[in-house]
This record gives sequence, structure tokens and C-alpha cells, in this order.
Amino acid sequence: MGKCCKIIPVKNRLGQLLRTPGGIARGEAVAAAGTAVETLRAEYVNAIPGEIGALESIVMASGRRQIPVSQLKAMLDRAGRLLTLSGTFGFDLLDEVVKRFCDLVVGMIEKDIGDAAPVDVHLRAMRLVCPGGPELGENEADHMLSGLERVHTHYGIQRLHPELAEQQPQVE
Amino acid sequence: MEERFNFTRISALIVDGDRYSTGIVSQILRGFGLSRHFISTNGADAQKYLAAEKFDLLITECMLPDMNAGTLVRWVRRHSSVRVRYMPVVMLTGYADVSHITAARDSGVNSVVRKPVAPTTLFDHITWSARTERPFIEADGYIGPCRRFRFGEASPGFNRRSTDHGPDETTVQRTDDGVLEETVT
Repeated sequence: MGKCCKIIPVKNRLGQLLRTPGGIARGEAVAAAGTAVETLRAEYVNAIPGEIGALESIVMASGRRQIPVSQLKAMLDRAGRLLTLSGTFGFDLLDEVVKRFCDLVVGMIEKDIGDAAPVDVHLRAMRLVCPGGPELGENEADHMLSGLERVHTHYGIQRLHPELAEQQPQVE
Repeated sequence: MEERFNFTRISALIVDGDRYSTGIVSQILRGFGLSRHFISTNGADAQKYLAAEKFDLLITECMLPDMNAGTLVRWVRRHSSVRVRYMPVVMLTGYADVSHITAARDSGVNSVVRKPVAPTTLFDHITWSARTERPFIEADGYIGPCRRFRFGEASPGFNRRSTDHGPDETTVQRTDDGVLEETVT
């Protein structure tokens, strides 16, 4: 008895609609989209401290000792929102810190580590680089990132996307 | 002359529990000229929308609050309505979704886009889906667009190389309704 596989030619409805007369060229569309996204900047950037606060609340609820896996997963989900905001609106340093936070939390879940201390350190770093916070110089930023790196090394945490590490400024 | 794309007649459904992400994707689509789009924050509501309304494009986050998007996409790919079943699906993945990406891709999406979504990336993925005449595969373990097509590459065509099949013997027959039936023995 053989395995049957159907190959079905499908009407490309999306293609037909996109090719109807009129429309927009790629450059115009991308520029208009960028302008439309910018209208959200003020509201969304103002929401960043609240999103960090939501992560802090989870740690607070744990009594700053042990964080259960379910709460680590909730933090990971919440951190995704921060990455949406930092990545879209160009807060590179916050983006980097939140990515390292995600690396940490995924590693903690995998290794069954519930210690709140490394999470707390990352949340403090997020506050430090939050929009509206103090401007960090390059050396201070490097110092902070290398501190987070040491935390990761201590807990044996790997980066989720090692290829991204090469794109970041070198830290000692 | 630069190619132009008319988004005004397209209706899209965006599914994501991240309200910032849905806001940003909505604005990007508005910028493209697409004004008819709906937002669902979870998979169950998305299924209701998809069953009740007519959409031309589904954009969904990989991890939804109530289900992973693979479940939603598999539901789409087995839907009784042809319009739903063959709808182009763009999957958005977050930084921490590494372990879910392969499973989500295998559920039958057309393309995968990493968040945060940039206008250029979304435009290129949507228009690539539109440019590519990509057949559908219905097999025991997979229903979805042919995975021989990779984003950005030209169509490899409908004919499959015999060397792709290894030692198996393959028979391909065209049925009356134009479907190619491939039997591997």
C-alpha cells in the first residue's frame, strides 16, 4: 500500500487582487507604513515603563525568592511585548537587555532554575535603559551588558540566537 | 516601470495576543492601502472570524494565548471552505519562539516573519506570496503550500525531480479536476 500525496494547483486569489489596476509601489507603501507606525510612537513608548512594571510585579509576587515555571513563562510572554516596542521604535540597548532577559528565562525554564535574583538583575538593567531614564554612555552600557553576561555564565545560560551576539558591540 | 500592488480589496485577519504587535501590523497594512482588516487576540476567536467572514490573508503570531498557531493553521488547512483552506498564512515569531518555529512551519504556513515586523519585510512576504504560483500539498502528515518554494526564490515549477524521491517509486497522475496525485510505493 503506497502513501498518497495530492499536489493541487491553487488559484492565487491574493495575487489576483494585488494585481488589480491601481495600487502602490514598494517604496511608497513602505514609507506610508513607516509614517503610520510612527503615529503610535508616543502612546507605545509611554507604555514601556508599565510593561517593565508588569514583569517586576511577577517577581514581587514571588517574594523575590523562587519564581515558578508558570510565572517564568508569563514573563517570557510579557517580554515579547517589550521586544515589539523596543525593536519597532529603535531602543537598541533596551532591546539587547530584553533579549538577554529572554535568553535567561528560557535557560532557567530548561534548567529548572527558579532563583529570582538573576531575573531581578535583568529587570534593574531594563529600568536603567528604559526610555526617559538616564542616558548611559558607551562604556557604562558595555559594563552593564558584561555584567549580565557574567550572570548568564554563572548559571550556564546560552543565547537563543548566538548569531545575534556577533552583531552586538563587544563587551569585555 | 516599478511594479505596483493594489491592497485596497484585500481583507486580512491579524491574530496576536500582543496588542502592540497588532497595532503596529495594522498600521503597516493601512500604510500599504489595506483598510479591511480585523484583529483577534486568540485562536478561538480567530476560528470564529474565519468561519464567518471572508479573508484573503491570515497573519498570526506563533504563540497565541489559548493555543499555538500551529493548531490554528492546521484547522485552516483542513477547513471545508476552499477559500479558507488555501488562504496565504504569514506566521510571526518572537525572539523566544525558537523551539516552536519548526512545528509552526510544518503546520502549513506560507512564510515566517520574525517580530518586530518591519514594513519592508511584511511587504516583501505578502507580495512574494502573491507572485508565486505555489501548489498545495495534501499528504498524510502535511497539508499546506508546497515547501519546495523558499521565500525570495523563483518558482521551482510543478515537476518534481526523480532524484528527490530516493529509492521510492513515484507515480504521478492528473485527475479530472486537475489535481496531481502522487503515489509513493
